[in-house]
Amino acid sequence: MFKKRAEKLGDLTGADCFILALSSMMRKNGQHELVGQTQLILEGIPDLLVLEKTARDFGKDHPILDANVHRSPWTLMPAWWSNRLSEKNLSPIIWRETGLPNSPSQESKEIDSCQKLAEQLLNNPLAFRGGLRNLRIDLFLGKDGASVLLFTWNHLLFDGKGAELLVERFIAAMQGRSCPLLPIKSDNPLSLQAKFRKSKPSVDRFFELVKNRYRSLAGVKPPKGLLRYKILKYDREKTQTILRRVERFSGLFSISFFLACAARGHRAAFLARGEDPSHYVSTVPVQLRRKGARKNPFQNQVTVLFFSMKKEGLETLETSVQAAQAQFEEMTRQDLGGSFEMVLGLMRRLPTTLYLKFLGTQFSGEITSFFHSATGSFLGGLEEFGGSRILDAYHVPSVSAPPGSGLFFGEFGGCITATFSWREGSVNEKEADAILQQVNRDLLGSEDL
Amino acid sequence: MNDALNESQKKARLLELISNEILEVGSDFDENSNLHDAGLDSMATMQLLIKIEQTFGVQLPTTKLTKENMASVASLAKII
Repeated sequence: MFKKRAEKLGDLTGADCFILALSSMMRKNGQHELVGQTQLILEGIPDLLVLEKTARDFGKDHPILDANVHRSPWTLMPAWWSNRLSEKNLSPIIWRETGLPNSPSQESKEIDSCQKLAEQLLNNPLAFRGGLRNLRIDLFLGKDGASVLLFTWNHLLFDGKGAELLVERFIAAMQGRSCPLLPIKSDNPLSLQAKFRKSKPSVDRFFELVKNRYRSLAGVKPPKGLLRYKILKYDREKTQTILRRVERFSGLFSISFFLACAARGHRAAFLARGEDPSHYVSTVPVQLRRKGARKNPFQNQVTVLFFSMKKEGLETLETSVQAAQAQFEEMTRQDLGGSFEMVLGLMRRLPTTLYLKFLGTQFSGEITSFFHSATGSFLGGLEEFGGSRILDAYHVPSVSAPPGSGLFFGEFGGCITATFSWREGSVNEKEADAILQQVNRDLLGSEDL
Repeated sequence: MNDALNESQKKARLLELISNEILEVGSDFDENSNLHDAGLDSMATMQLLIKIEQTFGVQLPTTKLTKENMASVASLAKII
């Protein structure tokens, strides 16, 4: 008879709580939330009526997209709660490039460029100007006749892989196909004693890492700077060159190659600053592989692997890849990903202030030296969005400061894209260029930019 | 240990190992299914190699770790 005001949609995972703490740190420091963006470059304009209807239905079918996180006062467990009374729709917001006339049939807002729009979206709460709390969709119409669809998402709910699954799910919905969400069993049946035992190897690893006094470009005092990004795009021919180099340097383990490139890029920025830190630490996200998980866009990331690189190891690309590879094997052998998942799980009930205190103390104010990920082939097999051909697709993740910068690699249609995101005040233009030039040299084995 | 197993036994063990511990695969997954299409990325490859070492007692030489050899359970069973 009475409409339920709110409904619990599920507890946050350990990895979610890590992001919750990061987001809280960001809000405190005027950096808004940890969000990411997936951009699809489209030939022409997609069918706006279908886009509008699908978005509306999609929002209704996934109440978690407008859900909030509340911590239970009794158990202290944070969980997603939907607001059933919310009348907000997921409705795409249309933008047109300055100079393009407004169509009488389709209201749109004017903006200088897509980059400006993307940065505006990454630097504001998602709900600003009509988005839902955890997802918004914007469409930019360019003067060249092409359009860019921007899915901007809350990292608390999605990771890069999850966002890719979200786009696939959205495209399926546009084509009238529904994909039911499968329940994921995330409870761990281990006893508390067994959980502590399992968490020990990653705790030992932390103590090793923090001894090394690694640094980030942002330093320990968080800047309030806006999020900026630059993109390097490689055509099919150059991508083939990169993939040959990946195979030559790291065989089947592309993770080690791209991590080495990101680490050497960051060292180049420190060198441009006249500094040469002894160590660098970066994380590699690990996704769910349990039954029912790989098709689920939400809560996909479960843990991370912490890589540590010495400056001597970063002298050449070859030694850098070897160092990354050796750690990758060792960490997989010891199941450090599973061990860290246990640590994160045990920390879920920790109030955010204590969580941040723990991060601040244990990591000496630095979370990592930089963020990094390589999502591999993106949206495999999908070529069309709402009747328009997808020309390119990539993620633009935002970053917290510290560390203040991150390098992300993805591939669509046989072409690799490298996105460098940073916060103003962490990295200046000269340092950003130093990073991208070094990354480009390592990817291609040449000076070509 | 691996000498004692014939090719079809190796394939059966690999299928069990991959579908239970490494990848999320459907009921149509068999020895000829493409592992890369099924999600065998860097992380899963490393996990698989370590599982192979533990299950079959053999460390695969780097020279044999090619995309072709890791393409399916059938091709993988040949190099174990």
